[in-house]
Amino acid sequence: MWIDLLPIALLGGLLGLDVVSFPQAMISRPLVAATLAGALVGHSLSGLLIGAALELVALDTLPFGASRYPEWGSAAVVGGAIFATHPTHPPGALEMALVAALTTAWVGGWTMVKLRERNAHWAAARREALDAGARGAVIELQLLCMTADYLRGAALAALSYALFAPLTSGAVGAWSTDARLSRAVVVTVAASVAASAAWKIFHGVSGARWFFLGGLTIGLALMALR
Amino acid sequence: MTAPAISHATTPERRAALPWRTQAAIFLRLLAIQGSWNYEILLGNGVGFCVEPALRLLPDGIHSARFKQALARESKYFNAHPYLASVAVGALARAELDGEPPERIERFRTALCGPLGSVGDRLVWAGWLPFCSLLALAVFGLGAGAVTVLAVFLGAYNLGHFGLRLWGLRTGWAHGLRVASAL
Repeated sequence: MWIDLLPIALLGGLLGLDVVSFPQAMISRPLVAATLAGALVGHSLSGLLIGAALELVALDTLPFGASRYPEWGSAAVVGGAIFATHPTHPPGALEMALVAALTTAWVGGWTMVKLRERNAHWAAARREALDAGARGAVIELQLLCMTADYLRGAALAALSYALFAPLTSGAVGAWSTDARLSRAVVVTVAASVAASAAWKIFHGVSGARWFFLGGLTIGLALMALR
Repeated sequence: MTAPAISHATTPERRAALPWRTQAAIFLRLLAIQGSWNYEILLGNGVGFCVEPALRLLPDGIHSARFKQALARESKYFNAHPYLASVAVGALARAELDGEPPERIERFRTALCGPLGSVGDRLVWAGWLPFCSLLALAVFGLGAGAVTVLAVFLGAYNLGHFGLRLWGLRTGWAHGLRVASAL
């Protein structure tokens, strides 16, 4: 397990950075991040499976403005890596990986708030230089905060994986509920959260229905063409 | 300590377009515009960071008082959706290089914050992102492999994402302080 920590930390840092700082290309979305983590462990399909479940949940927590929202980049790396280390998908593996990802996402949201407070402190310390239009201060502040964000994501992913990987192995050994029933509960919960998110978006944002209908139409067209 | 006051009485010749290298530098920096996001000045430092390559084109370059005053102005508080902030960056670069009066630029920055945040949140976070997620989940549901699902999601999403940033930068530059009409 320990040998996995470094690549997971590096990937967690990179995808944690994508959430807000750079480049926001949504490689941090659970569908992508968990699949990449799964591929890192050697089972991309396992990563994709848990990534799809997490993506449904993540639809309810969109990154609006300055609000506090879960940090899905590092979290999905942890969830994807943990689930992919159990490629036969034994009972309890999906559930524990999901718990690991959700917990990490919640803690990750808190660490982002703390980082933003730290960024403000660093900006205040350079206020005089920034007010004087010092080019070096502007660039230095930007790079310093981005480096800190990378390290935040890397540390979070490493610590979370180090905590939840052995917990998952232990839980899988003791899990007695039927695997299909356990997975059905996870899928139902994730789908319910996604449906609730869609409902909120439809009623809060004009025109969102058209985006949804567009996605549905393209999906059905793809199905018909198969 | 603040940058020394300078005269804006002499308006330089208007540029038709930014040099390609400057546009590329601004575009790359736009991807990191939220890199120093914080609760005090929000995107402010990021806007200064993005506009800086354009400000190097000011007369006398980076060591001039005019450069420093402009960079100080652009690094103050700013809030917008990160993708649509490219509109502001393009427009502010134009305004600074055209020698618009500082008070006018500051009023413009203040006025632009709200609309760019609201439009971007609705268009991207509540529209394009869920659309692309659902599309990729539908492709996954149809039995596509990991590579296909990721290619559909990242391809579709980033077509809109990079396209919006590029459109914003070009539109902002083309219209300058009159960019509201383009929005």
